[in-house]
Amino acid sequence: MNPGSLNYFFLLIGTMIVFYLFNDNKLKQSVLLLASLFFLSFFGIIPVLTCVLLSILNFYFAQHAYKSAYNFPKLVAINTINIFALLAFRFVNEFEIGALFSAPFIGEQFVAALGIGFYSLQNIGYQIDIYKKRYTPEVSLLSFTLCNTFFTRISSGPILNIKAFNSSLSTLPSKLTEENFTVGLQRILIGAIKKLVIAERFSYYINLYFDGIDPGVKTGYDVVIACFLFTIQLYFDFSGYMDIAIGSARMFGINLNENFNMPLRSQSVSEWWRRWHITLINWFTQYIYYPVAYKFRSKRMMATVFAIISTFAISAIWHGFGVTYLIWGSLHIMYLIIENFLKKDLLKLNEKLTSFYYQLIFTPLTFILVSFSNLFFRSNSLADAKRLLLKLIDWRNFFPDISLKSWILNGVDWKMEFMVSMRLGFLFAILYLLFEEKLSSRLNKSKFSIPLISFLIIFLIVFGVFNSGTRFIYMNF
Amino acid sequence: MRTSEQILEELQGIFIKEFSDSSIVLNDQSTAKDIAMWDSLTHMGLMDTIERHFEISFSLDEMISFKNVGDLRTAITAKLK
Repeated sequence: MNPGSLNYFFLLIGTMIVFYLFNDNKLKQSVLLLASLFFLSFFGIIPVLTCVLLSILNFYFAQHAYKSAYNFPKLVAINTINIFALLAFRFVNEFEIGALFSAPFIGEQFVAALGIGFYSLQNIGYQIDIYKKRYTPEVSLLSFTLCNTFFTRISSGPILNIKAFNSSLSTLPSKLTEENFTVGLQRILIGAIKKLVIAERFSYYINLYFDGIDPGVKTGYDVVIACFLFTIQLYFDFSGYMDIAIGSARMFGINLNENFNMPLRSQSVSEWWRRWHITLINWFTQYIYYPVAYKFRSKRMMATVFAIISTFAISAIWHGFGVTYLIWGSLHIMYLIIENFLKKDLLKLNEKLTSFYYQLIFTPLTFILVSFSNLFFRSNSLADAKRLLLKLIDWRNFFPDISLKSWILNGVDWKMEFMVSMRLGFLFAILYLLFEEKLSSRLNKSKFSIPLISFLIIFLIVFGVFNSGTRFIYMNF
Repeated sequence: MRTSEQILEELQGIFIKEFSDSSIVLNDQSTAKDIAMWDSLTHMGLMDTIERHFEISFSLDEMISFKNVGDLRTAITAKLK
């Protein structure tokens, strides 16, 4: 079941009806848990069992360890299990699915343990917090399991802080307020538009470019376009999913953390990581970056460098076992270390150039750097990445040897209908990005506007690409 | 025994030296947003300098819990008592 599919919305509406029939908080939580297990069951019995068993294990382990002095060996033991489960299922997943990105049809694919990448991090963080006595163990197995399985966000995040999520569960609303309904619906609609009107239109091209099918990539120019388009597609796909997850949760009065804050406006790679996949990077910062930087803080700059390397090395492994992910992680390590060394100079440059010109130079530069790293993130294998890199550095054949009119629009001789479709998506993407700040603030307003909602629905119906059946990219993790 | 004002003054000196920025003026409400060089990449180095200067030690949780300079000053004052 794909978030954004009709099945998903029937599940959401059905769950909302039953949820608001009950007044009792525990019953409401039980409804959400049952809906979540039902959602998971679409991917097979193994994801259900894995998630439930790991939740039960982590819940009781933390309680027991806390009562009998939670020591370091115990923390290592439980988190070894968590990490082993995560890596084992990730391993099975990649081998079963093969190339992650070229297997888009979720219904026809085996997903070993959907969402394990996300709830494992939650469980690992939870055990560390209890070990560090940051708070006391959870007392409700129902809330704890729901936090891991919650269906609106299990497959791609945002990553939750178990304590914060569970405190929001204690105040579930008795009725669907106008504010929750309006904001929830608006976020769901904009998420569906991001996915179906924009990201989907890029899929055909991205797959053609990266999956090595002729006439995918002929020149370096094509590689540049492929990397740029993929970065835009990934943003709209992933943040679209987040809008649907956050909007759906809002229907139950649950506020999930935001995962994106207009990352394409970043003026540095470090700023990019403060705006992109925020809950994941916060997790890595809290549980890997800070402890490492703290341990070696007397080494000053070297401590920062070592902490950045540790964080992105683990992040790369979390994304997948391939060498391509390691190269992607290494590039970001390099970017961040260079930025850190040049920080004072960049600040001076900002003053000299004034923020207008600084932004004009460094926003596109950041986009280019991130897009280049995505060449490795998206490539199915090292051989594929190498093939694209060779095209990129072949400067004699960088531009297609055809007329200006053709290559400025598109160097590849694809079918006109696909070209028009992609360009329409590109147009909508740029329009969205230009007005992103205003739109985001309007969509978080609680005043129900019939013209706005009608416009969003009609826009989605008219321009949405509904027949491809592709899943959200981050469901692979 | 240092007064609260003295601690703030010393902190200002540390920030100026650490970030090579003589324009820094601290008050209790100052946060990382107000000081361009102060972010997660430079935070631990700054904390190390503060620990050495005042001859105190912070735990990791203390270091990442400071929301502003006021929190930092309160923690230093408590440790110096």
